Amino acid sequence: MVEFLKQYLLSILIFLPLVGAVLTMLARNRNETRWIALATTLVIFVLSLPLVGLYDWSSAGIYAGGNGGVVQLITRVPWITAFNIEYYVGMDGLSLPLVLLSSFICVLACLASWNIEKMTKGYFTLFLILEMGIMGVFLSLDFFLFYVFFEISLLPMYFLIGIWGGPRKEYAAIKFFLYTLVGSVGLLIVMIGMYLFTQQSTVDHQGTFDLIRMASPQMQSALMNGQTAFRAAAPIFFLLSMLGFLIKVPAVPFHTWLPDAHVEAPTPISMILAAILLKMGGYGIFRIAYPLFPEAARHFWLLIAIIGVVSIIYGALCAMAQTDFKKLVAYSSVSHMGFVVLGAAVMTTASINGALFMMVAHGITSAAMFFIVGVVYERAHHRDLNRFGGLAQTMPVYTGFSTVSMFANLGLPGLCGFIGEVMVLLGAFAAAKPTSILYQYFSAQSPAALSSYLTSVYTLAVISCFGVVLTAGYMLWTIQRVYFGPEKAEYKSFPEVDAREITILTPLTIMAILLGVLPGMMFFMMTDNTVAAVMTVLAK
Amino acid sequence: MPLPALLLLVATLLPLASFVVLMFWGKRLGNPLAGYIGTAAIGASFVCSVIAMISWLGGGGSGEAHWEAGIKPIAISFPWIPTGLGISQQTAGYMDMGLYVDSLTVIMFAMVTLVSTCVHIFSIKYMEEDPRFPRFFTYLGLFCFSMLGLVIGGTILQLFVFWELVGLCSYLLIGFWWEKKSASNAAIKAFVANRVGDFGFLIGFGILFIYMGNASLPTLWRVLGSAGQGGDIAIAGGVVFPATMLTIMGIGLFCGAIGKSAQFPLHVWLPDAMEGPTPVSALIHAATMVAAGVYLVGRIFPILTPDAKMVVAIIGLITATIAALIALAQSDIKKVLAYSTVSQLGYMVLAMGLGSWMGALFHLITHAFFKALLFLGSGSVIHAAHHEQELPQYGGLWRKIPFTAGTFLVGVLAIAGFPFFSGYFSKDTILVHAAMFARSHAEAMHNSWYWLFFIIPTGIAYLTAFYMMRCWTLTFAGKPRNHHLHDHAHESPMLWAPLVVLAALSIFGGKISVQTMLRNTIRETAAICDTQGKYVGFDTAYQQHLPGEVESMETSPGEPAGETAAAGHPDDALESAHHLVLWYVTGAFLVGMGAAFAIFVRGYYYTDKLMQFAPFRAMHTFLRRKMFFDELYNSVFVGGVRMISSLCGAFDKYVIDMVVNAIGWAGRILASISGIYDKYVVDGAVIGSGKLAWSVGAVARGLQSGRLRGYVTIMLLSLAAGLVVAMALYLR
Repeated sequence: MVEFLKQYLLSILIFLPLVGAVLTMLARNRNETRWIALATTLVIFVLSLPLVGLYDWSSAGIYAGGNGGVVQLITRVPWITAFNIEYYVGMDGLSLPLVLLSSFICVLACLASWNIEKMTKGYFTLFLILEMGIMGVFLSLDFFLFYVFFEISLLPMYFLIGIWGGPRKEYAAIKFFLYTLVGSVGLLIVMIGMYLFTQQSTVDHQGTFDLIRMASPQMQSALMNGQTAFRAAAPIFFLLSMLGFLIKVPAVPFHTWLPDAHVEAPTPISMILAAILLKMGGYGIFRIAYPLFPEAARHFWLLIAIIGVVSIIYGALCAMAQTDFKKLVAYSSVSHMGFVVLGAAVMTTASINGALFMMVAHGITSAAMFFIVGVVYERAHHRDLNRFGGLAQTMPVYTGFSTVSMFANLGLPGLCGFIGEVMVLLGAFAAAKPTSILYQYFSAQSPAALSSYLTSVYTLAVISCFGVVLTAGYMLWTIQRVYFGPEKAEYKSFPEVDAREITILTPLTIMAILLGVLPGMMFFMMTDNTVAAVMTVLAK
Repeated sequence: MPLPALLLLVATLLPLASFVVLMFWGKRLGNPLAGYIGTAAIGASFVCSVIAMISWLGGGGSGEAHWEAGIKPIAISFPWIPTGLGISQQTAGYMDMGLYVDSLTVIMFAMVTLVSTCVHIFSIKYMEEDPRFPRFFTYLGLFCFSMLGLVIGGTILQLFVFWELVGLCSYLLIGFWWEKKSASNAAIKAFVANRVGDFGFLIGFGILFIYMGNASLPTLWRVLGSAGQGGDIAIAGGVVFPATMLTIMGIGLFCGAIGKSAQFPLHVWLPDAMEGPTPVSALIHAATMVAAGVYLVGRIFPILTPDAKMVVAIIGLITATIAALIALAQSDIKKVLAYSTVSQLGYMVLAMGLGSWMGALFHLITHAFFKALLFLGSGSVIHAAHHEQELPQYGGLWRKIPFTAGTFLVGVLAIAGFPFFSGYFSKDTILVHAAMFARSHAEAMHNSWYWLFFIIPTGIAYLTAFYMMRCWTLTFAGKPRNHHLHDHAHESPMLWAPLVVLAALSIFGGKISVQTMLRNTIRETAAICDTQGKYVGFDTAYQQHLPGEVESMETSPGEPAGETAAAGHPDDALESAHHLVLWYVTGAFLVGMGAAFAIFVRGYYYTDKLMQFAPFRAMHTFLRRKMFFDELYNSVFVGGVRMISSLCGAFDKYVIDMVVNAIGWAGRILASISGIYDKYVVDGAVIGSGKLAWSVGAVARGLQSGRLRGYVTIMLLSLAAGLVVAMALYLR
């Protein structure tokens, strides 16, 4: 049984949503559709839990060594043999937390979709196809397969926003689609280019799409030492792949699709978009861009770090300027994902740990935040912050939930947002440590390079610390405008959150608290080998 | 786990339990049961703390016996956030949480739980008519937990965590009456001002993290204990912690204290925090939370460089001065007390900066007693006066609420430095040290400006006596100015019983074993720092208070030991300093109190006359409006950030998005060109297939309102371009 699961569980997780999608198509009425979809997401969530146990945590190893390194639960089947493309799925500490997060959020988002009236069948079918795409992205280790799933996740999202969205849904959907597509093109070039380069560097002149193999020390040294063309191309490839992932994250200045997409998307889709789809960008950075081009990553660290810091500060400032509740939350996502980018850029153990944690923490808080916006939108039919007020009196339970998520979002200790934030910030300072990767990289160059590097590190670290002040500012201002003040007559009739809404908010709140108090739960999965492995790759 | 640590841990967790219980069942328990539960929890905490204190002191033995018995501080840490490479690989590095228990922890626990218990009891009566009564005790429970967690914290990270939680509680309690806009504004102001301080704290922590990771307090002291000498410090592994970095780190960490202890320039939040219920003001904004900043400085004291200490001293001096001046002209009883708190905190911070660790922490504890007393007293007054807080409405209340008037007077006497009341001793300690510091520095550096560090605090002592007596006189003495209010005033035992307890402590607080305990802390800390035998910078500040040794004040922090001789004979200097200060403190007390009583016993009669002179009026307005700090900050910082933020929002909307839309527009143009091409060239060539394409296109158009073609074209074109680039690179 265990062997069977080890062999096939990941594939089951990827394709079960497809089965569910087919079943929803066969459903006879709206109610049946919903229940089938919910059952499917629930089964996937339950099935994703044993992954924690199936993974052998004690195995030490290098990320890209031997047969998959720390990657386990591997399934490899040749797919397109002419180009050596495989169906290759596997899991390590990088993907596991995100897989768990995805299956968890999908259940809640499915519950949040309960009151979708328009074309229910189509909605849930697309929803489940989206879940397949998500699972596929986080679990596939073949570049081609990854790319396919990356695109698969794009299409249902496009329709889900474009059909079930708000007044400007077409504009938002197209913007989302176009932006991501531009990024995908970059990825495509990188993918094909890497195939062609690896063809040159292998003995049998067979190229590979195997992400793990591409990052392996042998392949890396063969590429770097064997081919001058690769050395010239690597920085371009790094920037192209980073473009793809930074759009997805999204980082300033590639972020403007996000507020529009969020504002128009229905609540559950916003939850998935913020909680999971953005993480594909972060995941891609750690799975593809950095391990494949570590040299370029070190070279361009300042650019990436600046993008991260600008996202943190600029995103927070933009959030402060919004009057639309949902747009505000969207910009706060930009700000928080900036920590992920910064964490990757400075390449210290603490910062990478923090960035990985931030992804999960942000997944939980942003899903909660978007749902909270959805709850009030459903009642008030507007999201204008300046027109709210006094909801604490009308809906005390709802206010309680909201306050917890907002404080989690602004990084209060004891809640999940704090851990990621503080780790990235401290990690950014730690880049000035003589043992850090970048310090050694620059100290090997020249004293002048080193001193300008240290100046940049301190400057960026200090500026990013200022983000905590801005975040507190706009979050508390939001709380004041929505919940505080005298009760307003027009909102007096609002019903308190119902059982379904509480069912969605409670797990999110519990997770926010749990991860904040016992961050080891998540780090246990990530730090163990994964961060070690990532660090090994980067330090080469 | 040793007994005292265990007891203190229990004492910390009890309020958390009460918080959880009241969070979920508070409403059902209702009024007053919820209050009783909260009070019972903190009361039990107090009992635990007292038992811990007794066991710490070795079962009734004096502090000396304790030290002789060799009871050492308890440091326990446990892993929290892994930062190392792995768990299974033994290289794991962790960000630890931990406990650190020494004499200071023990005495702080006793003080915090005692004041909290008094405040809880007071609140049961004070808040009885509030509809959110259970919620109030919920938050109080969380606050007590956070504060105790902060005091017992053994690592910088833990200090930071509880530091923030204390800030949260402050936010929740200031904004307790959130229907009022002013209350929620004050809450936000408090939290954001604290966050600005935390911004500095994070930078300090970050720099510390570079060199030492997240260090526990003993490690910090052991490694960086020689910071007081100035100069670089070599830490493990051949790494050098440069002196500049040490200074920046020290100032950074101190920034946290600036926020929390309401020091200039972040002092503005504390007076506004008076929007919260009065018991909260007593507990958080006078006795405990604001003291956290001073406590933190006390903990990081050994690692502060002389330069950092000078910054601390100057900030404390400025704060103490402006707050004392502003307090002169406030008409709201709580605002007077708030500014007096800010001023006294400035005093403590100043003492820290001058190297008088002992004086600062001693004053912290005595101040907690009498300031809690004063605030609860003001609460009793406000309760009696049906929530009227303006001094001009009071007058002659002592006949109506004698217990409050009496205990309040005790508080006023204590803070003004009435001989042998608690405040007298602590203030004396600080001023004697200030005198010695000023003297030795002025002589060693040939710069008489150093005398300001003595003259100004002494001047503030006069001001303190004056404005506190003004407050008492205007409230309780003279004739009633609002007869309706006066006629209905009354007090209740539930309200004044805690006052009596606190009054007793305000009188005798200076004599109980506080000083001994603090001396023991000094020894314990010094013993940790002393492993390398080089901590000249700060040990003198410690050593001067070690009993049994010559109470020499010859050196002050930062001063090279060799120059001591120049300062004259130490014993004489000390003697003269003590005499000097004795006269000044007593003089301050007599002159300030007497003047205030004489002027204000007839209400505003004399001051109204004085106000006829324009310069006085201008001065009065300047002080009454709090030196226009709020206006300045609102227009410059708040306005500035909001302006930048709306600029960013507009930039995002009109510039970045414009570019994006322009690209999209260009794509559409391209699409229509390709459409024309399609129509006339391709269609012309293959009409049949063209028709087919058209019908497919019609379907697609129905779905996409015609724009999809644009994307597909772009996608294909970019794909082709990508392939070309890739091929070109490959072929090279």
